[in-house]
Amino acid sequence: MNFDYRQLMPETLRLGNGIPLYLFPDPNSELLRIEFIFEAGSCFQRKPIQARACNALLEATLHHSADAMTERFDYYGAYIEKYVDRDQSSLVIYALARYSREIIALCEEIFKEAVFSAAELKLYLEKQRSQFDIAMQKVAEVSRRAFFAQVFGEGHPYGQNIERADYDRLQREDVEAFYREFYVAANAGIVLAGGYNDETVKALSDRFGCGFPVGRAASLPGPSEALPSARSGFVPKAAALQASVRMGKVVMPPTAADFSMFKVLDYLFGGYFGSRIMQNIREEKGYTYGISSYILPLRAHTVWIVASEVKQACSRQVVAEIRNEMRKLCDRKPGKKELDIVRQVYQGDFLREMDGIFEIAEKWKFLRMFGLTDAFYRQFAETLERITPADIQQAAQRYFAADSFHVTVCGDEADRIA
Amino acid sequence: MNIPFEKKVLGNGLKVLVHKDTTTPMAAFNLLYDVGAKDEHPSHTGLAHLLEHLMFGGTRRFPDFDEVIEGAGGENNAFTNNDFTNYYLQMPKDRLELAFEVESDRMRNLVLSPKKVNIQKDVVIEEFKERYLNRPYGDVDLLLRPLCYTRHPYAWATIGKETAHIADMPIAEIKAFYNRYYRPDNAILAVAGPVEAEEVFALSEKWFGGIPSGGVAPRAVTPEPEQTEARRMEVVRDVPYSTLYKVYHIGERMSPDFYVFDLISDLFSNGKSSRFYVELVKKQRLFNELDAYVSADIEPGTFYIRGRLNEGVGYKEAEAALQAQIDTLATQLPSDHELEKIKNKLETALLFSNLKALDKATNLCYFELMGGAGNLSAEMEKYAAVDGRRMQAAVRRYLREENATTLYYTAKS
Repeated sequence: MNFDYRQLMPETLRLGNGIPLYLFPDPNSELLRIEFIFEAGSCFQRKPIQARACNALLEATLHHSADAMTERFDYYGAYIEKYVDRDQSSLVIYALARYSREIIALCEEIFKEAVFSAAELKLYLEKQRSQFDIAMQKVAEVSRRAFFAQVFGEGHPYGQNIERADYDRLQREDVEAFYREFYVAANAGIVLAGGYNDETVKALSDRFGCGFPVGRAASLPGPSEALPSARSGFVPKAAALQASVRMGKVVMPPTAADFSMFKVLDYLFGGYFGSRIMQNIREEKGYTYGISSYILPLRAHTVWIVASEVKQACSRQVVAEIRNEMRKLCDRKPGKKELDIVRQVYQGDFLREMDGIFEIAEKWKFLRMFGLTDAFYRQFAETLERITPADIQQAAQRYFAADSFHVTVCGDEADRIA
Repeated sequence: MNIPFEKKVLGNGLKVLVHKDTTTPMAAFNLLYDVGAKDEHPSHTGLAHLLEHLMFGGTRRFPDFDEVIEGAGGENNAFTNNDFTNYYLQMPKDRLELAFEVESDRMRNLVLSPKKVNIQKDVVIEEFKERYLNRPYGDVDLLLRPLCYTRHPYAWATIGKETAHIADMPIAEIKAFYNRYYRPDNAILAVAGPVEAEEVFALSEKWFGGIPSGGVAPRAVTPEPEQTEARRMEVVRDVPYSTLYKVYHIGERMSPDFYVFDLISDLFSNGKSSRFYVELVKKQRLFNELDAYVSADIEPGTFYIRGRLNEGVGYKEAEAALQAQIDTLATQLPSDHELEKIKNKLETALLFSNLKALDKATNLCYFELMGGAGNLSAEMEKYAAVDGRRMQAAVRRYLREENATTLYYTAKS
């Protein structure tokens, strides 16, 4: 595959206070992407919604109201996206490169001079609660929640779910405390990509390299010794026309030697349109509009998941077919032709995923979180090249042991599995 | 924004567009057919989209279409809307010819076996449930369309009016539809990527040149008569929040009005400093979500407002507040600062939507369908030319109750 892996590794500057600034240049672009990443995900929170609310309320400052700040970002044509996952929080700004100076000054203000008002928090929580109410009517959302609670246990930071009453409990002080503890230089990283110039880099270094409390680096979660053993769970939703099925388990992290082997197995099993489960369960049986498997790498544990919304009263058949496809791979090597297709599909997907400086910059967040480099993708490409049908069968025998999977279904009583 | 291209029309009527982009290793191949849900018979709706699914069923030469593309490191998919059906592939540049080979083959040689048809009917019915029936507020489009359109075929959604239309679709009807519309003179092809125009024209000639033109008859769609009185409907559903929808007829996609209304929708609801958000969500606390947007229909389309009511807020109060916002725009010119703001935001969005080779290939086909791919590069200028006076004129002309369809989507409490 013709790909220059070196472009995945950014030039890195250390700002005065230690914040790393990662650079992905594309001098021809009229656009800019700036991402501010903090070790401030929901796994660090002491109260539900704390991490999300804190990230969302980074608008108002000592000198300007939330409305005045959003007005200024909007005026320069910027789009702000906010992400809070279990491990990290980030704020991504997409902007016109010609306004980079103004945008960076605004960013400095929202991070360094943040103020949290009770009124803004109340509005935020009310809006979130209504979105929660709507989400809870979707079978996919209900089964997603139940699945993670099952896999990690409700006491684990990765297994906790927000309950409706949590929207009444969070206080302004909780949000501010989270900000003071986690939005500090020791927890921060900045990724700059697109059509910037030396002046942009200098502006970021000057504004973020000092005047930001250094703070204490968050103590990052490690793998838990004991996770709940695999079981089946069912959440009833009367008269649901479709049931949401989730199946999966904790697997090895991306840093493990056998990760790349498992990733190929995942591709062949459910990672593309021609995959085993898509062909069987959609294209041959018509049980669903779509079914796929994927790997979700979290810092402490990586999870492998199969997910689908299926015809009412068919979840048992679908689960049986998923197991059946696993068993088939344990019993019989895939053909060389099928494996060759997987190789090609992966390479094509990879090139598309890395097509453009913003896409490459986005991937950096993942590599950085696991302390990986471009060697991760090089090594994967090597595995992909030399992997044999017998390797796939062995991997299936190792990872697809029948009793090790959690199964979660949300749907009508006709779909009850447990 | 400038998206240069070269164009050639083959002898059989196929239009071919080429955009050179050397920043990517992948070539994007986009083939648009000028057929959509608006070309369906009112009692056999959902056909254009069902056929799109069946187009992946294979030909005698390529029994498994996806496998051929995937085996070459490519990716392909398609979408259907009320106006057209669009197939797209991304291929490593050195395998680009394969895209021509398979797409030209399935333009004429699709195999429609009863078994495959039945399975894809099931798949599409599951899609219907997943997207429209088994999720809160999913059926709104199914309710609003027949209310907004009394004559024009925009009266039904691309997925179809009901699942029974898909289940009962006769195979002969599918075949006839395919034979009628999947013709070179009813299609537009665009290739974008590290390619030369001559090379693409030669490949087009080689693979598509021999397909006879179909002589597709010009479309005779019944125009929607002007709406002269307010239309209203209320439904009660098992959802958590009552929601208000207002839909106004506006001009077609390429008319000057479209650009005016696209900017009005931004002024109303794009971003947290927009008028609706600041005034009605934040200050008056009437809605917990409020959006305005334009449908990008090619034929005269619609301007939508969708507002999710906060608990305890009545429809009358909510509608009056919306009307006050409309009246303000009708009587007071927006400031230069506000206009600059929405145009800056629009510029960012426009640049992002034309960043990738595939986006550019798709957009070139879409604009060619609407009269000329060259118009794509003129988009920013058209938005830039909109001023406050044109906004006022458009608001006064179109955002009137007699031109509106109102849906109360009421939460069963």
